[in-house]
Amino acid sequence: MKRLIVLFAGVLCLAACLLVAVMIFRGDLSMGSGKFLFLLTSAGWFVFASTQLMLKNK
Amino acid sequence: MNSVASRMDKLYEFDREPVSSDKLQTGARFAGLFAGEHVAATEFVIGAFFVLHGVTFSDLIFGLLAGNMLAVLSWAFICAPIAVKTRLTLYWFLRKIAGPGLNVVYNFINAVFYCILAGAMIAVSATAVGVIFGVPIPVATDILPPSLAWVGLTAVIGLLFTVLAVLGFEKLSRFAQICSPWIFVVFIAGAVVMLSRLGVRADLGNLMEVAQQKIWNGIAAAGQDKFGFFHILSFAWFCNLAMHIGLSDMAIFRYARRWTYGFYSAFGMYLGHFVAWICSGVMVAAIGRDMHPGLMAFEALGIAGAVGVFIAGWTTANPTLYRAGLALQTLTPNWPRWKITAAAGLLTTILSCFPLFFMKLLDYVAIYGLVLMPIGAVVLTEYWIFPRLKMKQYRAEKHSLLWNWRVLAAWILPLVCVFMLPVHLYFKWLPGYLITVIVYVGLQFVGRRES
Repeated sequence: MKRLIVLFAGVLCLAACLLVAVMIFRGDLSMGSGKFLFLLTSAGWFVFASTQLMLKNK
Repeated sequence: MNSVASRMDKLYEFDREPVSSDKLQTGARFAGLFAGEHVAATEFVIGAFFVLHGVTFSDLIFGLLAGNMLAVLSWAFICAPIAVKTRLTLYWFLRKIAGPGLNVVYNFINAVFYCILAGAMIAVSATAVGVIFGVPIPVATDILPPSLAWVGLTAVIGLLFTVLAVLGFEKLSRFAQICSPWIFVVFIAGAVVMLSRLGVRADLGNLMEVAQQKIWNGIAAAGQDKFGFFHILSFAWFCNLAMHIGLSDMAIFRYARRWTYGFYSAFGMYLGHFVAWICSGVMVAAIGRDMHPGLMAFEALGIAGAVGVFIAGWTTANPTLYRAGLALQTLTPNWPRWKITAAAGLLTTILSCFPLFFMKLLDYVAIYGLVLMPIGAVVLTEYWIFPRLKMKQYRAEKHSLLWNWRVLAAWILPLVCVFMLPVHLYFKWLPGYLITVIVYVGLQFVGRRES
């Protein structure tokens, strides 16, 4: 269950990455802040995905 | 040669037996494997080169749809059935047909090709680091290293990848599993962001117009051939020729429950070789058709984009280095795994300095597939055609031959023929495949009459 929740959080981060890209394209976000948000959401994916992998290998 | 062959057998001893039924994998694993493997660093280059080669939008879409479908059918109808019936790797199956001596030669050639491929991936990663540190990268027509800074950059990255590969392939493979979904997102997000730079309106009303006039506008860049529908179709089909028609992926499909698992390759083809190629095309058009994967992603997504390109190169160079090391290990008696990986890494690092392999990636992929394709044709002929013609199978195994000269002749003769054929490099492999089948059956027929 814990693994599933962590994986879901990771997938949400990936979805957020795509959302940021769409917002930059539409002009809702400036390039600078959009790129920063993309970096943050990407970091979120790596944190959750590696946690999920750690839980899996436990 | 005998001792080299016996060392090679030891190396593959765990693959000697057919895969047992309890080791078979689910279809979902095949889907994930293909999706991860075919969204790689090279996708940043290939999709961008289609734009530089002046492909039109309709030629690209229909060419990729058809070519990728042919690739999926090749996995499903050629590679997977033999793998599922034999449950062996190509290595052990080829040994029965060609003999251990020829197997060594095949492995060595494969190792060199792997090193070149890994070198190209290192170069792609170097463009990402180069954009951050301001190192000028080669232009599309460069063959030799353009500057000392480029040589230094590729050398440092190549050595870094080699050291990390020496320290542990398995940990890196796990890291690659985490990275591959994100890298796919980097492709899509990069393209979406760059659409606005190309002038696509937020309502997407002029998307098709921009695609046809600013991205795939049919105008080839200086020094590049003009590509059409058949170039794209053929490239998409033969891009992994060594894997499907060449049967290297028997190593994967021997774990499949049914031959129909070959259709799972569609996840790799249509995500990596369709979506990712289109995305990299958008990105290269947005930066003024400059072949610079690092700059493409950096302009779109900043540091995260550059990191994406770097990681894509790293995670795909890593298993390629591993495979190269495995193939080279046969020629270096008593060397531990770290030493052979280091040697393969060193060779790869040297190759990565030369932009030739990175900037001529499309031609290199064509040659790679072309050179190894006849072996796939020989195996297919031996497995499916010989029984129907009532010809004896597995001659090398039955007569304990070190070399099956008929296989060697059926490998080299068609290659000589197709290299002389006055057609584009991309269209040589199909006649070559047919020639190989005819030559191999003919040699077997002549040999049978003589004996």
